[in-house]
Amino acid sequence: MTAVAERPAQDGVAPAADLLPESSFGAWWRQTLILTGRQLLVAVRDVPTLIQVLIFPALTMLMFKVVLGDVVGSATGMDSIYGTVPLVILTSAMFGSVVSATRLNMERKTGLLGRLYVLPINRGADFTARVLAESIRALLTTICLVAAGFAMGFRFTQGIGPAIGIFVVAVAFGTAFAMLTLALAVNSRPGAPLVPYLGLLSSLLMFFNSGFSPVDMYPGWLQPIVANQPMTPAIDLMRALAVGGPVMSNLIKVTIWVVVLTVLTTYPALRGYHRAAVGR
Amino acid sequence: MTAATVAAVPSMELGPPKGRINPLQQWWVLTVRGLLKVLRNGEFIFAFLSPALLAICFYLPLRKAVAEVATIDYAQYLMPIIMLQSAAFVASSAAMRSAMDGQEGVHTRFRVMPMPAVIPFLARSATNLVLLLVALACGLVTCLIMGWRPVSVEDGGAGVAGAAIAVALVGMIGMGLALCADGIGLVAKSPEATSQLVAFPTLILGMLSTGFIPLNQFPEWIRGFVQYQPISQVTKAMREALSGLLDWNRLAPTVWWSAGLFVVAAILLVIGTRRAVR
Repeated sequence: MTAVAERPAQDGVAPAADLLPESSFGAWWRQTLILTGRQLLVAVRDVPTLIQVLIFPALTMLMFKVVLGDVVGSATGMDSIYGTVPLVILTSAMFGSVVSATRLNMERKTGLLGRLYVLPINRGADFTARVLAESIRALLTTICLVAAGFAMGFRFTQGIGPAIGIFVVAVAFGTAFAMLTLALAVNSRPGAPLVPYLGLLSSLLMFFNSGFSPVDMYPGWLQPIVANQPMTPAIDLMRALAVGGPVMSNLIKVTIWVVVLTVLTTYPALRGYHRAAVGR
Repeated sequence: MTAATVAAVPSMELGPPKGRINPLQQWWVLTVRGLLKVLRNGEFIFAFLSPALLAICFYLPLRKAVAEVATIDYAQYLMPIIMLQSAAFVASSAAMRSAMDGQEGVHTRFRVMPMPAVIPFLARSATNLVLLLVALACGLVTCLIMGWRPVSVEDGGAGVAGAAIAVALVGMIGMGLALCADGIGLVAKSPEATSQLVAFPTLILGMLSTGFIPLNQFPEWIRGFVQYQPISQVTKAMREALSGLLDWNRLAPTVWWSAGLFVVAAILLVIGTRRAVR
């Protein structure tokens, strides 16, 4: 029955000849983009979560500026907004990742991961789509929060290059943290209390960094931990890119953290994703 | 099977059982159910973690910074807001439990059972009271670990008696908050909406209060709001109690805010109960 093969595409379905092998790079890329679109649609339609990752951080920024602005400003001699804006951007990225990890666990429970796994699509497409969606979400929330910061006095004083650098740092940090949370989500048992633990970790990181209070204001025994936890070099780098200051040492630290987190979580994430999909 | 046969079999009797229903026993059973739920959810652990985290997250980073701009012992200064955080935790916990029961249809099921409509509410209140007492004890332990101590009468404070009055004030506000939160849980559409409704005002009022930093450290344009909002009034009354300077004029705002919370809670309870009937 040769006529079928020659028939043109109907109802938007590509003819068989156009279908790429599911393990090919082309299929992976195309399907990743489609599934990224799905992830972003799901995120946009989830209004309470949108409030949590946009409105709450903007309000937190305002709170920190109003409540701690004068105290921290007096202690450091610099406008606290240059620490607060990066802090809130990174915190928003972290809490957004926790939400995505929760959603992944829900989709695993409902069997959606299993269904995607048996479709003729690239095995890595859905996972990379989730990570890409997180990167896009981190970029969009950074734009919104920088705009809110502008209303409170935050400025790019070093030109266009460093300004773009701020967004790159935010997206890199957000993506690395998303990899970590997704890896934890797919490797933990379905009923595990993932949200409280990740929320606790994010909250602790949020208060113990140079954006909340200068490092030398922390107790001596705590200062090395605060100075070297992932958020502090990222905040210091973003501050330097906005208002000037040494960049290289913090850039190296941020790069190390991002690379280490990504490398350490990629294999467990992919393996856990496979197990989560077939284990239902 | 004739009517006579049916009457002869006691287990097949229609209508309510002959024995009198004891509302006190019903209240006890539902209270135990609530406490077991609290225990299973690990809320007693979080009752300690909640104030402990607040103490860690604000005391350690800000102790030096605040000491530089205001000559105060920050451990002594933070005590009221840490105790209030314990009370706020109980409120959010109460709201979530009430909302979850609503979502699972528990409230509606209780309404069609042969028991007074007030029993489930009283049982939830008893559960919340026990959790509040545990949370306040945990809050006090946290404050003591942080370095807070009741200021003795010789040093110009009110000693243990002042501390007891301060804790009683938090208890009063905490119970009002818990009842309000329980009402919000009854009325709200979902647990998610409930958590937002309870967390949002607590976050804003908590941060924009004199609980964390003195009034003169706020920008001038917001000082009026900060000074007169409820959490600032409660923390002020608690500090006055601890220092032995509490009189009716200083206590009145806290009492009125508490009364307001109880009134709002009553209104929410009526609305929630009517909704359950429908």
